[in-house]
Amino acid sequence: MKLSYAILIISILVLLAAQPSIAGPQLMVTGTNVQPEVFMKGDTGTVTLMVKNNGDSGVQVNRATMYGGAFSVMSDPYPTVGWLGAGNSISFTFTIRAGNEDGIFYPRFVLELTDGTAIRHVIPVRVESSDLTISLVKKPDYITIGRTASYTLEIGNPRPNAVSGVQVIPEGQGFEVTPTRYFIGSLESDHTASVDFQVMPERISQMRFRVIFKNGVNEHQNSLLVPVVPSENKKAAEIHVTNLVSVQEGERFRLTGDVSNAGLERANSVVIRTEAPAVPVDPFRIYVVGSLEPDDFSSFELTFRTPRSTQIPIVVEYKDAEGNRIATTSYVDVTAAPLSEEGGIISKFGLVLVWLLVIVVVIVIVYSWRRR
Amino acid sequence: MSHSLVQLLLDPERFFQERAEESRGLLFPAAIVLAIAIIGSISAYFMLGLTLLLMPSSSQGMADLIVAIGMVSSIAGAFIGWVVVTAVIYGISALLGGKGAFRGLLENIGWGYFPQLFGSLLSLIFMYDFVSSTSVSPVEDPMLVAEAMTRFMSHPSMLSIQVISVVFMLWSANIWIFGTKSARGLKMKNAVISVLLPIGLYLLYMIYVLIGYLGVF
Repeated sequence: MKLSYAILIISILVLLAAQPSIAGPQLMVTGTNVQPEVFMKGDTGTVTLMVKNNGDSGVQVNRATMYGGAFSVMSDPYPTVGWLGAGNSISFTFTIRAGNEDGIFYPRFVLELTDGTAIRHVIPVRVESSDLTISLVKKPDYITIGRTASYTLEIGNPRPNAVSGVQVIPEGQGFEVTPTRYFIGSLESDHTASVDFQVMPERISQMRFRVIFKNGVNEHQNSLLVPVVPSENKKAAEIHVTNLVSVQEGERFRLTGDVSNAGLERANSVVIRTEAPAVPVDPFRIYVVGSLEPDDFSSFELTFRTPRSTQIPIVVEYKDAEGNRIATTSYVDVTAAPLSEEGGIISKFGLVLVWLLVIVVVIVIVYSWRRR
Repeated sequence: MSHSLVQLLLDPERFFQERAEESRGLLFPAAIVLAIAIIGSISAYFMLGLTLLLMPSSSQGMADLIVAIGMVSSIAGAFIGWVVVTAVIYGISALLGGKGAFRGLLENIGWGYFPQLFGSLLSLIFMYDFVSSTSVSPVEDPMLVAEAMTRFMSHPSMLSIQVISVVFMLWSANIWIFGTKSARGLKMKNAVISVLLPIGLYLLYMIYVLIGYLGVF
């Protein structure tokens, strides 16, 4: 066994000794770097080549040039590179811009030496213009004015390379949205990122989600248009005020009634109050019902003053599950009795007095005639 | 004087017979009418004060002026009424052969107002009782103002005042008959016609209004 190893080692040494030595300079392109890895149409990027002198002597390099082909070379050639010593490396970077065509292209690098020879190297550069995808993956079944609803977007990167600086910006009028900008950052190839937006519509509108990203140094954007059509919340609490009875007590009115929830959702923090022209007075300036479950009702009582017969707004305020404050207004006709008599002492006996008086006067008149 | 006033109320024929023999003067009759006028103006003050409370606050700036005009009108109206009643009775009695002077009739009619002094005082008491026990809220709708006024006038206290007015007017009319007979030298029958024709029509009108407030019509 030991003999076999010895034979093998000797054979290798013999072969190495038999190899002729490389004399003079030997230039090689040892590496290339393309940024971005995959261009989009019109993108600007860089190509960097590493050239190494693997020979045992130096060499005078004259000129380094890039020929783009379908790419435009934006930077100038290296006119006189100079001396490249044995074992030394040098890098050449060229700025190129992609044309208006997708595909794989081959810009050509030429390094000319002073002795008239040159080395050539082609670099495959890929141009693919697929954008980031924007998908609306979650939206509310209905959205109502003044209530916040959640919209979820999924941003996908179908490109063969990673993109950076990805951010989503919701744009448009007629709604309030938070956050006003969502920064994702880098998005790897064939990866997705989800973003949530809280939207509160004010009217029918269109919301544009604009996605901005960078491919290398080149900024690109894509957008998705989402209609925002507020509709009725079919499950929302429906507050109804019924059985309203107002009673005048001197200058004050006492209003009693029932507040019912005919909806399918709970109404929270229900508060009932009157508005102008009514002036709330103690003891029931407002009436706090609290939570009102679906199909439930609560009685309430309010006290107020009003200078005249009029319609009094009865405002019921409550909060939905998201904490949005909702107000409904009902009206009650209040007839302020212009006269409110409590009845004086004399008026209670007035008719008796009057009849007595009539009798007295009749007696006096008859008496005066009988005296004749 | 107090004896004479009792005689005026209970035996007006003798009262005027005795007055015919004395010197005539308008001082006491005018004082009676003035007293009635002052009491009436106080009632008007209460009445207008309550009515004005029905008006919107924007109209309250004129309240003092309206009340002042109302009180002055009430006083002036009493004297004008005295003269008008006398003139009407004078005219009718003249058609029936009346001879006496207008001034004499005016004096006797003025004396005849005396029962209404009690009526005015009673009305004032009823009015005060009603006003002090009633609270009024301003209204802007004219329909509600009209409705409030109807309720106002159909209140038992106000109806009582109306009845008192009618009753004491009857009492006055009774005295006026004897006063007219004395002042105009008429037969009793003609004196009754002279007084009861206008006063009767007036009383019928008042009764009609009173029944209207009671909701019969």
